[in-house]
Amino acid sequence: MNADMVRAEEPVFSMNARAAERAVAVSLRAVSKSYGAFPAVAGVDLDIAPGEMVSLLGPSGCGKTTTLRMIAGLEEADAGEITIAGRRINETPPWRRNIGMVFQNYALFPHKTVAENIAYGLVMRKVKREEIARRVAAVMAQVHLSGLEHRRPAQLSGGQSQRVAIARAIITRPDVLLFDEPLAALDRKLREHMQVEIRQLQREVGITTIFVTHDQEEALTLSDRVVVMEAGRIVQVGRPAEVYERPVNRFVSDFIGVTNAVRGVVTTGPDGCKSLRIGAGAIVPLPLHADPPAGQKLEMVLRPEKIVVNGATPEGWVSIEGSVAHVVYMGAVTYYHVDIGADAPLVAMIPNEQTFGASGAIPIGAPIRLGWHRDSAMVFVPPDP
Amino acid sequence: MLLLLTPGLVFIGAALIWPLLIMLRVSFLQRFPGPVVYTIAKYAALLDDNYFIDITLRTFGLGLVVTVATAVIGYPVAWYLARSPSRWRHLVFLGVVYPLLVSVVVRTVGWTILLGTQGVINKLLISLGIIHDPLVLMESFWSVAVGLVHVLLPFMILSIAAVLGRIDKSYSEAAYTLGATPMRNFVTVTLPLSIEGLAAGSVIVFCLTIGTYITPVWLGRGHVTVLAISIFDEMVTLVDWPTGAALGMLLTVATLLLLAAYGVFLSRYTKR
Amino acid sequence: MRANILTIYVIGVLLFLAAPVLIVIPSAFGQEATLAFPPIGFTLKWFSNILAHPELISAFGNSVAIALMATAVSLVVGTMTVLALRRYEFPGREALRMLFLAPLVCPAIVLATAVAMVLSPLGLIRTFTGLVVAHTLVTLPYIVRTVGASLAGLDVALEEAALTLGANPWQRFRTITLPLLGSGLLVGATFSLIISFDEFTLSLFIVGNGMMTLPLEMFNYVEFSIDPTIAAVSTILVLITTAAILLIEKLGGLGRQFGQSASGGAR
Repeated sequence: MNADMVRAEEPVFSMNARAAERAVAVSLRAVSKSYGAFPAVAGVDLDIAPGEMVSLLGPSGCGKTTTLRMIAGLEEADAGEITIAGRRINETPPWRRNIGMVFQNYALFPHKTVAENIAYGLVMRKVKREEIARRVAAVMAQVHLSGLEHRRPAQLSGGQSQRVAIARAIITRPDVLLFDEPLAALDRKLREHMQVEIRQLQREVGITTIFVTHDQEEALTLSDRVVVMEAGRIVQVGRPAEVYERPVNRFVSDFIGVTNAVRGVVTTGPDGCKSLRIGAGAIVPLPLHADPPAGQKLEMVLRPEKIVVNGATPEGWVSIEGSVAHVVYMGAVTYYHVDIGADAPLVAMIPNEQTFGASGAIPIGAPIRLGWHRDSAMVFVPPDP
Repeated sequence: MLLLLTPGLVFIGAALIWPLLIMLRVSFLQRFPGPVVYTIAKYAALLDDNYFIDITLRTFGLGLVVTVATAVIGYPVAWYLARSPSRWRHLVFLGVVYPLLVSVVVRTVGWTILLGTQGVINKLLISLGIIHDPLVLMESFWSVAVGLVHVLLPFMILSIAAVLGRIDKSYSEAAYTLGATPMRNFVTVTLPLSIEGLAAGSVIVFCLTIGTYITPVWLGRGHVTVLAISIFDEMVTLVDWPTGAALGMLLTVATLLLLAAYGVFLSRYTKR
Repeated sequence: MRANILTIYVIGVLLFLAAPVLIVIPSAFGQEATLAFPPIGFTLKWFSNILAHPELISAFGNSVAIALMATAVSLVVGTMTVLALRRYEFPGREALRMLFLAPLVCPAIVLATAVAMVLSPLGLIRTFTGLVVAHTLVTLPYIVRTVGASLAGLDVALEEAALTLGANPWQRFRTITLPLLGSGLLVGATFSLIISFDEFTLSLFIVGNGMMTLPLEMFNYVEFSIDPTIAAVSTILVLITTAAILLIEKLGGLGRQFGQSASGGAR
């Protein structure tokens, strides 16, 4: 394959040697920025390892884009320190930071051809013409764009445009690669395809990558670590599984994935087992690791896919009776909204393993038994009303 | 960096602000050039003199007439430009803009040929036997008005068209579904929404009319004196610069008041 | 039915707007020594008669030179101004932008009077420099408006991308901003040339024997003799204006001059 042959000749792209020397490729310490009275970023601390792919995830206004732009140098931090490859770069203008950035709408220069777009960074660095031609050809092969050298951006498809943007950003062998909502502009099928391509490319090339997204699916798919942000602060940092399975608060549990939440009061059972008394009196055993004081008001959070229906209840599993309030058929899965006497119905997601379709579903009003492993649930202290 | 802004600031300061300040100062002098004696006598003379009051009324009357005429005549054309799906739209646009770029001298020559005693209209009317002696079509307030309407119509049309083009068609469509006839639809939905364009166009046309020189001079042939002609007389013929400056200041104040009123209208209107 | 009435009306208004021009051109070809329409006979003698009036020719040369100078100055000053207004946010930015557009709203006679009062003590009346200053005052707002609109339509991301790729501000301007502004600059320049060439009122107070502009020379001419020579000059001017409009149309259209934006962004 082209990419392999190129790599056999010489390492056209490899992890930046400088970054490899240090354990941390990008570091933020107490970084803040305000727009007038509005604190967009309110004290962010973060270390990113070389070659890591990290996502900044959060709702709009959480400060993720501002943080990215401060790393790029397009915004100036009011306070704190930003370090790339061990060097403090707060005062360094963007054109001297050796970064690569892919913009949400790609920002391809309309008056230049694909090849000229990709070569732009090298031209600015005054690389010699023959070497530019060689490196452009190599990187175009690597992103599967060979043959499109003389096209103009207006003639490209969405996927092609994005690959040109990526090629343009990585050809200069930046210390850090930044993406601003990389897949937001693509339709579903293309997005899934590009997710795989981007991940593969990043692994191949080994550049430390930071990308900003509001799409939690994208964050889970693409990242080595997810940085969840809210209102200008980092709320949780961790591997995708960590952030999904062990969210640190309601915000994270609700933002990533879908979840149930029921309120109740802690009671102690005769066997010393802590449980939650919910609504009309049902008792739900708490997760094994939770040990709150009796009488405490709690919120129990449980993901729908962790719930099984009318199944066996082995040791360590919770079992609860309820009745079906609502059924939603989604093709691959069916959602059952079950009334268990709590303040809200529990939603269970059941894969349609057999071809019953909607006709095979449990009817509304029918009794139903829900079960889940005690440790699948998480408990949080609700904020005071 | 302010470095980029400096040339522009320097130029505007030197070529616009400084001259206006100088004009302000001169209007309060007894003579210019001459010994520095400050007085408001020039203003007093103007406000007292029927001749100047006449001229002022005529000038503002002209402004009013031309503004209303261009609004009424121009609105349908603006409608066509903004709403019609016709493929001739672009040609119409060019047709509206083109006269703006043709020298005003050329256009006035054309009007002379048309309206003169030996001009086209007179020749036509005489040959048709409607009249025997040529009409004096120029030299009147109305010929000047027609000439100004001709010059300023494109400004009004473009102002209205710009706003009409931005009005969402779905407002009208909603009105239709609610039972409005096309006429009521226009009067109650589209017209109010296009007021902004009418206002902008009116301000431009009025300001340009009260400051105009060449059209009244040429089409009026000395019989229609407006403020601009009077200023020229004072400045060049009578070399009474302070009076010329005073007239200029009066004109400026009138323009500023109009712009302020427009600004108030805009902020109050667009706050709906 | 309604559409047809509207169409007829619009055509009528267009004819009204075009009437003087439509009349002037044929008048330049008539045999008679008076400005008449319809013209009788056909001759080109009035065009060659222009050559017998050196004052017209020299005024034409002056107008061209002044237009070029004023446009050049306006382009440089205007582009710098527009770039500064776009990049830097500061209180009063909008007010400053309005200030640069102010000469458009100011009555020309007021501008003429005020500028004359400053140029006279400086000895710049009846000079080339004085006329260039006055004309720049009138053309600068057009440049600011056109190039400003062009710049506003330029995607900020394109300029930011250039920075992240290693371009310093000057390189960014040279390789990205300027090329993408290109047609906006040309349209603005063409417009500015026409405006300066046709300028009358401000020039009125500054011209004199030895330094005349074409519109004023034509005005003088008609005061004394109305013959088709003036129609011939007018015809030439109309041809030049038409050529300029065709050029502007080719470059992206007059719509741009009136506020529609240039397209500089990626999909």
